[in-house]
Amino acid sequence: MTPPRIRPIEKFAKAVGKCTTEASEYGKCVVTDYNNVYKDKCLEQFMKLQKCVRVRIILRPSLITPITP
Amino acid sequence: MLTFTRIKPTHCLRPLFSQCLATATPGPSTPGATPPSNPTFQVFSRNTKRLQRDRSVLNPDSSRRVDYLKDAVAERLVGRLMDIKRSFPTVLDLGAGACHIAKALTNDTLYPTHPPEKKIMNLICTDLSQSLLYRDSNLPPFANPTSPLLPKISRHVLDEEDLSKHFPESHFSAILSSFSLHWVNNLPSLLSQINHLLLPDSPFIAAMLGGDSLFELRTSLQLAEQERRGGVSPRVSPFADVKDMGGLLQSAGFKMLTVDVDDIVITYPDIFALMTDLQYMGEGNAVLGREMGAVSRDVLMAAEGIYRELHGEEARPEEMEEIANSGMEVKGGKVLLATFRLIYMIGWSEGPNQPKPLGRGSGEVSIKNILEGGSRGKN
Repeated sequence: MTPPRIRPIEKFAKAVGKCTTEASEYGKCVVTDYNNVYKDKCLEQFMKLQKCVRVRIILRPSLITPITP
Repeated sequence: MLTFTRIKPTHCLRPLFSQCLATATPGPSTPGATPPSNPTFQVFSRNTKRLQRDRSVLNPDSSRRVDYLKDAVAERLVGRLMDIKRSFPTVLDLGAGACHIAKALTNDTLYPTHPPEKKIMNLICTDLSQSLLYRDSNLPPFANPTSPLLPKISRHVLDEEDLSKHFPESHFSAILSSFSLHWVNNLPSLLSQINHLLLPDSPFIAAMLGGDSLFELRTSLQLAEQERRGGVSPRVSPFADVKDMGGLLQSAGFKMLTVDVDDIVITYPDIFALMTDLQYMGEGNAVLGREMGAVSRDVLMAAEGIYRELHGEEARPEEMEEIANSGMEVKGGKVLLATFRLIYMIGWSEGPNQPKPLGRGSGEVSIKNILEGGSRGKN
């Protein structure tokens, strides 16, 4: 019997849920002075979050765009 | 939202939202209703909305699981209907979904009289999506055994934007609409069509999302897109404001208006749970100028972090338990809040013996005297 199909977004959501520390740090960074948010304001924190999610995900890595520093 | 739609909107392609606004199409000129003098702007794609509703019932169990919001709104709407001390022979339910109002009518705790009496005799449920409209037609309370409180139901698939094509003038003794009008492009024209379909001295009662609904989701996605991509795209649709509704109802010719708001705040374990539920409700993004395709995963994980930081709240023990029971987990001891602001409005079509406001300058009592402790009547 085949297991019920898991939507890819559910796998992704689970992986993000395992990275609350990183997500919270990134969130804090954006939220402080949120009237002045610009592109890559919190790149460092985001890369940590992304790395954490990538490690925990069994998903095609191509779905998460690579970051060129 | 998370829909994987690849459908080109009929009016414009992304990201030309400004062009989309510039291509104004004339509003529907319908017999009976006064044709609106101004051209209307198309904000929502009705076709996308129909597809989203069709798809939301592909998995009927998931679709029924997220009925909590529509049922709650329908029950509050029916509560308002119960305040009117008359019974209604023929009633129209606009944007009925899976006939949530009819379902609420069978809830006998909502009836002020004991034993509860049948308030509506014939109810016509209409919706844009056939599959959503007929989703529960084989289940109780619609199929056997039927509740004695259930009105006689007929279902019509139609687009409520050109309503007056489908029904004769002065036909309904009441028109109801729950959780649907926030996807209508030309609200002034629809309200005026509704007014023409009503018999004299009959109520129109509606509930729609408005004001600051889902502001948490809107701001989180905006901040995340701004930080990740350096710009924002319309993710949460624009809503009508509470203070506009009175004016809209009045200009459509309704009398004795009542408009009130009610915030429903729901907690979710994470942003994905919220968006999945919205998708299963058929309430995904159908703004014409939206970016096609899914939100990128980068933006999603960024938005999750921001949402948790801005609008997260310590989970209460009962919330922890409820979330655990539904097979999800509370992350970091926090739950996310999502506000749904419902605007309830009641307007009456003009009738012969209705109370009317007195003319300007006809007052005989000075408020000033009363407030200063004086007596009523002329001095």
